[in-house]
Amino acid sequence: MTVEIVAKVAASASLDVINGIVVQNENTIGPLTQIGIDKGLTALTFAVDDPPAQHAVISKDIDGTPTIPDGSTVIDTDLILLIGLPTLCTAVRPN
Amino acid sequence: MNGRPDPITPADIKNPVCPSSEQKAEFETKEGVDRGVYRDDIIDICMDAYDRKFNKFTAELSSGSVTTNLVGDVASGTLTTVAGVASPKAAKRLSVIAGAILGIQGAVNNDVYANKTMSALVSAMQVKRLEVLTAIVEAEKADPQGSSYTLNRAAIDLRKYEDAGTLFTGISELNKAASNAATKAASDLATAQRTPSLSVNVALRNDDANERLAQMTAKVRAIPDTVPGRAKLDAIAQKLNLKTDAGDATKLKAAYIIAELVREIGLLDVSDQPAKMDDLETKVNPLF
Repeated sequence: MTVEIVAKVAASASLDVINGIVVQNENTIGPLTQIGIDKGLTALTFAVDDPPAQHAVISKDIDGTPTIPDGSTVIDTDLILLIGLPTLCTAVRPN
Repeated sequence: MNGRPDPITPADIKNPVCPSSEQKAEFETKEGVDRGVYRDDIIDICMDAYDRKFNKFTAELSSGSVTTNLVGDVASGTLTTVAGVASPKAAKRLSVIAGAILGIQGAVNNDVYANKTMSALVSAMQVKRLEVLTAIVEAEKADPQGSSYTLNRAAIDLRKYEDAGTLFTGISELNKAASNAATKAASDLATAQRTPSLSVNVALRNDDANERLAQMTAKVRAIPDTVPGRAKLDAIAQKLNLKTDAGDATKLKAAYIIAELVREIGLLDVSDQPAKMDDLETKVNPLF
């Protein structure tokens, strides 16, 4: 059984802050599995499990195209709130 | 409309072309390995003929010289169904860009869509033909002397091979694929619905508090799924004023506790977080 915890972040958070929250919560909860928006907050979903060897990184999609560094696996693509604005972003994890 | 096909009449019974009646009669005069070799030769000749017809047919489909509105409409509907049961991730991504799609949909060239439809249908026909071909080859190999896999039986399979190269088979195969995908999507949804999800509000934490919190949650996760382990989790939950159900799985109990620990720090001012961690460690650490 997979159990997940959704960490909700203030809409005003910047991308840097959100990435910092991702690292902290991958260490305390487990791997990031999903990103999105829920009730006006950015929703980061973490599976309750051991921390991943490599932390997930979220970046803005450019013209609807995700930035996927070589050797990374896409976790999720969805809108999240960056400084109040819904922004299409992709979360990846270096292999 | 009778709800069943009309009864066959003598006019419906035609001499088969491949294998022909003469070839079947010739087959019956053969014995031993010769019989099997003759059968295989006739099968090769018939398949070669069907392949040439099929290749010509698919070339005409691709060039657009063989299309009907009926086929186009039915096939397009089928593909829409397939798209409708795309994986949840794909569906999610599609929904994100839905606005953009709506804007350009009117400009989509129908020929492009028709070509994709035909391409999918041809692929579906090819897959079905390959399935029948495999069955024929296996039957040949299993009976090299043609004693049970006779030319008459091969004729039935050859008819299936010919029928596999029709648009109706292609549409039927695509519908099957859509149905299978829908079943899987429903199963995935049911699994997802069984997965408990807990929610907490978070902000960036003080580094020291975060490190101590990570150490504590690691200890919670490490508690084994045993009777003493579950008792330990129940004791920690009680200390945190959490209500857990005796029937909860170990992993769920641990998740409730981890969520509560994260929540306790949650949106506290950064300067207050170390003191909160002191409090949590006093309560919880003696129970590990």
